[in-house]
Amino acid sequence: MRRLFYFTGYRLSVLHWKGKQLVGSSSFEPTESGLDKFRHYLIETKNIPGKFLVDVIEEDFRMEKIPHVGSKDRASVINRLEDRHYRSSQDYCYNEIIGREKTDRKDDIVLLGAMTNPQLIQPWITTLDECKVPLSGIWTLPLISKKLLKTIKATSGVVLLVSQQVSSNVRQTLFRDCKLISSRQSIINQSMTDISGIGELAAPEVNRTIEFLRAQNLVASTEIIDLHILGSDEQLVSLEQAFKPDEYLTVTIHPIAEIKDKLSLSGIGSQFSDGIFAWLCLDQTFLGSHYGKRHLFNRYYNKLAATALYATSLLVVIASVLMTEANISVAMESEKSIVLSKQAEKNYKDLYSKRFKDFEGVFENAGVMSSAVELAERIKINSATSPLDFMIALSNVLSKENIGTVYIDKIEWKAVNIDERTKQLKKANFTGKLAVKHDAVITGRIVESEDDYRASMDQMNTIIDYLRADSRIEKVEALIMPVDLRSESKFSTESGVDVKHQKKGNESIGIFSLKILMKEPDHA
Amino acid sequence: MLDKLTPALVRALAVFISMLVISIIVVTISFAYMDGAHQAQQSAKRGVQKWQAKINSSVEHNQVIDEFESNFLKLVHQGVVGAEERLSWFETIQETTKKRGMPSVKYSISTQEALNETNIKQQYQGINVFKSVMMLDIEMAHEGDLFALLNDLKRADGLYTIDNCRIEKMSKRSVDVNNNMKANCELGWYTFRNSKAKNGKGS
Repeated sequence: MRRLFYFTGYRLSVLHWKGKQLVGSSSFEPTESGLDKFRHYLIETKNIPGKFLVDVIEEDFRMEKIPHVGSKDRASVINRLEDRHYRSSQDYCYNEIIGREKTDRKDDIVLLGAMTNPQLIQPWITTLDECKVPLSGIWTLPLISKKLLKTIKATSGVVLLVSQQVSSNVRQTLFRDCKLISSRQSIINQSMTDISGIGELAAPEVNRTIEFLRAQNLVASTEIIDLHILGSDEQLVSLEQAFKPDEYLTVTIHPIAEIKDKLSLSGIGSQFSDGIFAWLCLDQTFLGSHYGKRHLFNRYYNKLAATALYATSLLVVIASVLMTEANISVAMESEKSIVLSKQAEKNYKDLYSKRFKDFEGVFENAGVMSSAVELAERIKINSATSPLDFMIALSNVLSKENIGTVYIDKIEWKAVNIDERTKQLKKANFTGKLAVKHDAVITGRIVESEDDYRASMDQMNTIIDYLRADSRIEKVEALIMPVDLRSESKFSTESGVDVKHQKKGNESIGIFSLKILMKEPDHA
Repeated sequence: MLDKLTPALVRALAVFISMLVISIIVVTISFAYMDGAHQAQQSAKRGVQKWQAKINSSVEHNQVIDEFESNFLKLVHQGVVGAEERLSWFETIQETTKKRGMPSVKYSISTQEALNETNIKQQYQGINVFKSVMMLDIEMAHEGDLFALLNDLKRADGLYTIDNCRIEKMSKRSVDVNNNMKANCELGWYTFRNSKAKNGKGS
């Protein structure tokens, strides 16, 4: 249920709406008894929020041009204008920037509006305040009527909307491209019972208004005015006769019943358009109040805040219930899991006690056993690198047919590892995974041919080549050669018949020394 | 500011604050309850995992024992695990010398020392490895005597490796004579002990 306080300049009507249906209304006279009745009504009825709509003759609209400045300065300029034009209506002023000039300084065009006699509504506002009615705002009908333009398809150009809310007045509101430019209310001498002759009464007023607007240059003399008139069915004939279109005027008459249907409104009368505007006022949600100081509506904002707080409280409760429920569910799942885990633990404990407990001491030695066996195996594998292995491999090479006679006099053998990082040879670690290799210096002799150094060199080169060609030998380095003709070596000899005799049986000739690095034996 | 608040708003505010406080308390308690249950659940799971791990470890140890026991016992019998059997080494040398009629075999052995190679600590946990260095100084007719001796030592109680060896002909003449060769070799004898055994002795 929604409530609208509708003030027409004399009496106050209270309209109760349910959706788009007017479900009840009461009117109160501006007398002491009327105010008492109004107070009584407010106390007796449910204290729901309400909107206040005014449609009074004592209302003025004007357009002013102000410099295009920042919002703070603009507010200050507008305040000064309002103070100048509507000093006695300070709390009941309205302003809106409706456009900007296209030439010169490109000033802002501001619409100023005010209730010139706010005392008219003061008793009602005071009573509402006394009865603690949450009032959401005070709106003025001319500005609200802008919302009707879309329904009557008059959203562009210069539109003069003529409507009648009570039998004695005609409201004429001028819009340019949906922006209110001016509005005035004219008093007409119409009978309360017969409203069919409205055309004759309203036409002079409308003509005067048009003349005024053109004279004020609010509408150019050559500009076409689209006149839209709202009328009841019984007024249509009179209106059609009284308002004729011409070169600068188009006329459209809208039956109130038709608009009512378009808006799907019910419960409102079809004689005047007050019900339509009342609903348009109620229908807007976010439009701020046109008139009145903000504190007038505190009660309403408090109510909104209270509602929001109740809603938030509800959400908080729901959220906390859901979270608590979720937490408890998780906790209960955990509890179930604990029971199962305890049972499983007990089963494992029993199994352990039954099958393994007695062997704990033995199990402690399992690691020792595997370590000892594996290490012994490793040492055995590495120990295959021995002088015997080296000599067998060496003799396999030196026993080749075309190598000739070779005597080995000395072998200095050692087991080594090659350091992975420095690539240097180091003493073998038989417990490690690195291959244990042979590093040996062999010293021996070849039988030199008489004075045939070339043959000796060939034999040594053959020996070295064979050694290098062997798959197990990684490196061969000649330390001493029987005939050492390398540039880096010194060499001396002699020759002659006597010398030849001396040489025979001499064991210190033909000596060579080789350093050999050999791979470990194949363990496969 | 507060005087602008209507009683309805004050009531709503009071309700909101009450609901908020109650909700926070209830949710906090439920969180604490859930957290407690979660902790207990984790603890119970850890308990299960502990016993599972213990059983798995026992099964593993059992398998290890099955796999390594016989070889381990062989090592024990061979004197690789436990105390050194130096007497066995010397007896083997004496026997071979005698059997092959080797003119001279001098041998000495150093004090046993623990091996502190890093790889041993990392790869072979639970055992301490010791090494005794044996020096052999042999005079022989030919190199076959050396290899026979080294081969016989393999049957002695222990595990050895040859670190280095110097084999030299004493005479450079090509025809072999008695005491034709000499050899100096350095051998390493390895023994293992359980690192947890008292005084580092015993298997």
